Amino acid sequence: MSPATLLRRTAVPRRRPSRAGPAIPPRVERAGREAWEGGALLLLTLFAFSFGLLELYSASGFMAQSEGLPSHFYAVRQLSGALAGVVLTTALARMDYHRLQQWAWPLLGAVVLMLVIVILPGTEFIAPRVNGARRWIRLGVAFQPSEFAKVALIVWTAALTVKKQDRLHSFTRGLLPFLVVWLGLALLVFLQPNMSAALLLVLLAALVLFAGGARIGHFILLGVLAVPLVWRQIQGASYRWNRIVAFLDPTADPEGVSYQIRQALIAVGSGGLHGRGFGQSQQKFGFLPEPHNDFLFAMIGEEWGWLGVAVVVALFAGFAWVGYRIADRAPDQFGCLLALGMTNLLVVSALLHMGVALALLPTTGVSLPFMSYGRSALLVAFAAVGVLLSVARASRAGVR
Amino acid sequence: MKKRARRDSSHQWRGRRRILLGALGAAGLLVLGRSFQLQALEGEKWARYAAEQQQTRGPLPARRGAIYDRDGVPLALTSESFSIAVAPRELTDPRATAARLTMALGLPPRLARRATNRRRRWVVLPGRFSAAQRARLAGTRGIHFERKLDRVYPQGELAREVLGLVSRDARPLGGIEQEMDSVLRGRAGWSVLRRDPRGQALPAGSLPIVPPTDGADVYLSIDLDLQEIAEVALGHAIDSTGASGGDLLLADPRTGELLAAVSRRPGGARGLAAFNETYEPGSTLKPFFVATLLARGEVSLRETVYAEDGEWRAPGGRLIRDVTPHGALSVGDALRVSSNIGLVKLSPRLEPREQFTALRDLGFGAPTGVEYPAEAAGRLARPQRWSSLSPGSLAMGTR
Repeated sequence: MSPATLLRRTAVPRRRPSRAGPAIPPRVERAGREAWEGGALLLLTLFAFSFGLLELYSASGFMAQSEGLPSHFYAVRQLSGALAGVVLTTALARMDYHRLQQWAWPLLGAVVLMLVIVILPGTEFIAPRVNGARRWIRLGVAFQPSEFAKVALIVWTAALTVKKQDRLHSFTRGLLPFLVVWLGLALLVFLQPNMSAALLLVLLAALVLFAGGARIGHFILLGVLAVPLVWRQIQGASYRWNRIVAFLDPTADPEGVSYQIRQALIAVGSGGLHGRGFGQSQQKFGFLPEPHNDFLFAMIGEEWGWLGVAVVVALFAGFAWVGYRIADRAPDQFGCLLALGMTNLLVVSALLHMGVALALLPTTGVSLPFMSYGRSALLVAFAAVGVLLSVARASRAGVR
Repeated sequence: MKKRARRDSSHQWRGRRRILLGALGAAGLLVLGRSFQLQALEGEKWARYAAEQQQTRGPLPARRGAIYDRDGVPLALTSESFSIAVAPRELTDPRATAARLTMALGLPPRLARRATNRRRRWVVLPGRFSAAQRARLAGTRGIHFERKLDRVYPQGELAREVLGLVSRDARPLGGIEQEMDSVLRGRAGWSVLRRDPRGQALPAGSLPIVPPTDGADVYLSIDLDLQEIAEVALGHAIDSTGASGGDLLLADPRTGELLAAVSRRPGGARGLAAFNETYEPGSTLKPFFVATLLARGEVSLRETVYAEDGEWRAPGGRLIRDVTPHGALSVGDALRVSSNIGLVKLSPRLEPREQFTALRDLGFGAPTGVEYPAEAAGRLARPQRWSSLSPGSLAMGTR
């Protein structure tokens, strides 16, 4: 079955103009070009995951062996996550994405519940503390609620933006309800503690609202208010402050606070233009922390050189281009914002991950979608593709 | 009116989407540019940092050359053996590797299974293994070899003073081992080893190497059979005379080659004392004195010298004695019977400077150049420092 067959069995989406907001009138001249976006998205996904799996295997083999596990351990686990991801993508692609509009609040509620469970005292048996943070729920299968919170918050923000379209210009009746929910959710994630994930949540949701027509002045005001707040939180925790110090001067303390960033720079820089070759990374032998996850891009830079970096950047540029085209051609505003939010989820995460590896940003634990190890993040990435396919399918059906 | 507002709103959103897409594109370009800076412009610098922290040099010892006697009998050899270690987590098929270890090394199956157990990271097999055994395991993933070189002396203690020793850290300690070290030791190679963040070398991580150059072999003029005879003979002589030590050098008079060399000292000193210590030449000096007189025409072998019946007080009051009393002796006979009196009486025929020059020209007071470390040069004082007794002493060989 070729990937494009996923898009063939279409059901015309139920239009609910009153809830979906103003429809973007389809343009007849687009009809001949509609079909390729879904196929392109699937090809990009397939390539990103396959390349990522190869690199993940190279990055994690030594680590797995050091832990007494077979070298393919992490790659096989990632593959199992991908199989679940394919099922999820298929299900979401076949589903009418307007159902997400109905599920926005229940989804948000479920995520809030999970996030509360994670930080609640007395739930350590299912949400243990790992490396000083409680980010996981272990119920037979371990998953990270903050990853799912990204999808839930994007869906909710898109749905509420459509609903409050006429009141977005008002701060109290338009923006404030968003802020209350965003900050509440971000606070739950922040308390894990996971500040970078909390900031990313707010950023992704804010981008949806920005694209939905909220006033730019509100964003500027929010930004001005957020800076001292975030700065205070950074200063409040030594590890966060150290990361900022290391970011500002990666050579300051190469064996201390700057260790991670320096090792990432050594990995990327030593790759040169053509890289050391697949499997030839030296930094993965205990120098680069989390080479299979937070610093997978640095591994790609080392093994594949600048050419590999360019391929990965081109890959996510492809995601951005296709995703924004799907958003442009969405049948209604909710579909448009949903597609845009899901695209941002993939592309912004990737840019943050790459920025950290290149010392363009302070060190944070953002994974590279489809490539970094982590089945929760992988499922979320596949879910984003599923939603994008659903919107693309609906827009094609709409023009027919 | 409402329709128009909606269209305007749609266009505005499209504009915002363009802004967002543009921002993402700009961020992508920033990533590409920064990577280019790190990888293309600063690539060498980061590669150097990487090499500094990831690699360390490991020496590859050269095989030391052998020492043979004049007939090619080995006196000192270097034996090559291998220490073998297993990295169980690198093995593709631990069971097959265990069977292979049993076959190739004769390892008990239980030990082989234990050595290939994935729960262990690094297992060094007990004992040393031959090059042939190593060859049987060559190319097996997860099996690592370390070359071990040991110096062995197949003749035991025979000629030990001649040969010297090599310490455990491959440093020569005396004898031919030290004297010919530059020839014997060869040139060590090196390998680049990967190391982990703690600075420990990773045994599995060997990078391109410079192979070692083995040392050259050395053949001595020593004849092992004669050496054995000399050692036994000297031992008997010391025992029979009650001497505290002795030296025995056996040379081929036609070539000057030493065929055997033995020294014994109280406490069993290492090294050939005959080369390392100064000693009074004794009557062996007499022929050189007479030869000098003959060469200068100061005397003839038939000339007669009176030996004073064994006891004579020389001018200056020094009492000279002969072991066996003699009357009148020809110069030739005085030399034959080693008459101290006869030779002391002839000593004034040479000026001190002439006597000194003759002895120095014959090599006294200077090293012989024998291939042996720390050879003692001997002492021959300059004539200005001689006393009135020195010419007589240097004629008969004793003080």
